[in-house]
Amino acid sequence: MAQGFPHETGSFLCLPGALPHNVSISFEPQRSAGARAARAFAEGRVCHGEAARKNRVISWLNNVCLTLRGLSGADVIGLVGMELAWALEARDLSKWYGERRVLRDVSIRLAAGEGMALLGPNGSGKTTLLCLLAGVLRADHGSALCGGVCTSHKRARRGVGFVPQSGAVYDDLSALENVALFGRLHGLRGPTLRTSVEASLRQTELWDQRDARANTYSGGMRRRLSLACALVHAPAVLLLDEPFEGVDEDSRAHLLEVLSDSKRRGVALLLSTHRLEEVAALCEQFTLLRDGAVVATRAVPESDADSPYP
Amino acid sequence: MSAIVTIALKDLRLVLRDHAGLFWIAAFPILFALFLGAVLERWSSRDDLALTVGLADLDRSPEARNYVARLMAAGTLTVHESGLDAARASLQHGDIDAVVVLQKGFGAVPDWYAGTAEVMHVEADPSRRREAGYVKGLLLEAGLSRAIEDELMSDPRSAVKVVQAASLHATPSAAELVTPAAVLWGLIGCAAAFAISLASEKRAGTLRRLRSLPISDWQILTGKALACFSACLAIAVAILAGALLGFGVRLESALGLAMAVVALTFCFTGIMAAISTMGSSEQAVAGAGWGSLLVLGMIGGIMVPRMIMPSWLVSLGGLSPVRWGLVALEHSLWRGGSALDWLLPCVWLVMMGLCGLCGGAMVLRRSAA
Repeated sequence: MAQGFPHETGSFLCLPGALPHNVSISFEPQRSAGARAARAFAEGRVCHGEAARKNRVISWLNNVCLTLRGLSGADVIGLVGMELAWALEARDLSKWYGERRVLRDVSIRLAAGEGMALLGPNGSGKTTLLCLLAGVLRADHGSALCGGVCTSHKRARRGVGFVPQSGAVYDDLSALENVALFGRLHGLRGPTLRTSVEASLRQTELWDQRDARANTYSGGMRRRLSLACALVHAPAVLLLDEPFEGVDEDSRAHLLEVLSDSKRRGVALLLSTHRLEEVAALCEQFTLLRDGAVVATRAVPESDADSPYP
Repeated sequence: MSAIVTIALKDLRLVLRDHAGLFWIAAFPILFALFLGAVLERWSSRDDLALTVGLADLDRSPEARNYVARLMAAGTLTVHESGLDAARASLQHGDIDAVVVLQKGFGAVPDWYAGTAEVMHVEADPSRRREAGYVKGLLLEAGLSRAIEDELMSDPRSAVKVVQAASLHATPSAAELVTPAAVLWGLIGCAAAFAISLASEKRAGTLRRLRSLPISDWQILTGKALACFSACLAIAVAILAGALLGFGVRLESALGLAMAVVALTFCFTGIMAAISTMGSSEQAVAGAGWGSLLVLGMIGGIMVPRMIMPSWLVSLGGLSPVRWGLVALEHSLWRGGSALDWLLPCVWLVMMGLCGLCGGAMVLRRSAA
């Protein structure tokens, strides 16, 4: 069993001895977000598949460095295949609405437990990009991947929680019915469904008002309900389209708390927003879009003292 | 499959909680049936259905007065006697159906009914020549009746006898005439109400959320179609049960009726699926839905009687599922006939439903691109 630090070769890292000689790990060094994701993974807060549940994997800080114990080569290949795929990836996504090109070769990547903000003026393509990544729209060029699988496949969409810009809940259904509906459509049944629905509603602090219809909710409560609907199936990726628009300070703080908690559990967040406070609180990176093209992708300046995360 | 059922149950629950929508689905067809039933009841009894004419007697001879009195006593026409100008003004205002003018010299030709001279004329709207012809027949009948009473001639009306059609076991009652139309109105209301659900989902953003789930567009549309199918079926069964049990409507073929109801329901579900993708707003879809469904109803014969339609419109009615639905329901309820009489319309209805479903699915799929 291999132990120790890998040698960095370009943007690739290899684990000498850990894997059969013809296998390499091919992901780029991460910033501290990668470390948080790895720690969450190591602590069992993020589990992808049986191999991850059975084995303990401890990983590093800053650059990729895995210490593998008690894993066979096959386990590692399986584990690596699962874990090293980007939680969310857009590869050269382009989209036309008729003659108008609304997205131009957009590429972004997001690791588990990482947060990225999409910034840009209205009409810059943020919502379209989120819809493409959620599998709501089909790209004219490029691919949208979740966990390495194209989001046009149902399997990929199982891991995605999407919170559209409008409330996107059924007004004439209660909170419980709304969340249960989306849980069922994600394939949850029986006790699992009940537990997940309750957990989502408790997480968003709507459990006490679970039987009230959504049309009786305030704007902030509807946002939380919308988030609960997206969280019910424990997604690996959350796509949020302006989640803080039209919510009061209390609801905003609560939404931030829920999203932060999700991040701690290893959920990757991609949100479009105009509010820089939320970007600073939730995201390690931001991507600036203008006229459908990526102008810049940068790290959010970190202030560890202010950071709510480990 | 479970995703389809889940979406269908959700849509049914939403419709049940939307009281305005529920009115169009459940209450409207029943109200319409009662209204249409009352109209047809009056039509079939024919007591107060006489055409109204204004009569201007320019002759004023005793024979003319005697004829007017006989005409009024017959009761086949409602006669308002007045001056010629006043009668023409009434016709222009639409208060009467025709003006009957007894010309000068009427009394001098006692056997006018034999066609010896022109003694009267009927003034009518050119678009109502059919009614004018009916009035002409009744005027002649009133003249003939005197000659028959005076035994100047035998009754020529005995040469023609009106009997019950051999293919019909009994004259259809008003309820029997109305029931197929009521079922079709129920289905039209139901399809129109469900058609806007997709547009509502677009407006609320829930369609985007549904599309982000691990289900296909086909499953979303099929779920909605299943909800519409279930509601349409329930409405049709409720109306038919009320008609059969409450109003004693005959049932010639239970199998035919079952097939007709299922085929009609499927057809309107397909139409709903096609209409639901016709616009992006609820207003656009509602307008397109009611507009197209009312046109189908109109040319199909549940709004305007086919007998007053021009021949090209009657031919066009063959494209309407309403027409085929009427045929299938009437044959299975009270017209009787062979199985082909209701089977062929059913096949046609299912084909139209399939076209609607496929068209709707294609448009919805294209909208994702």
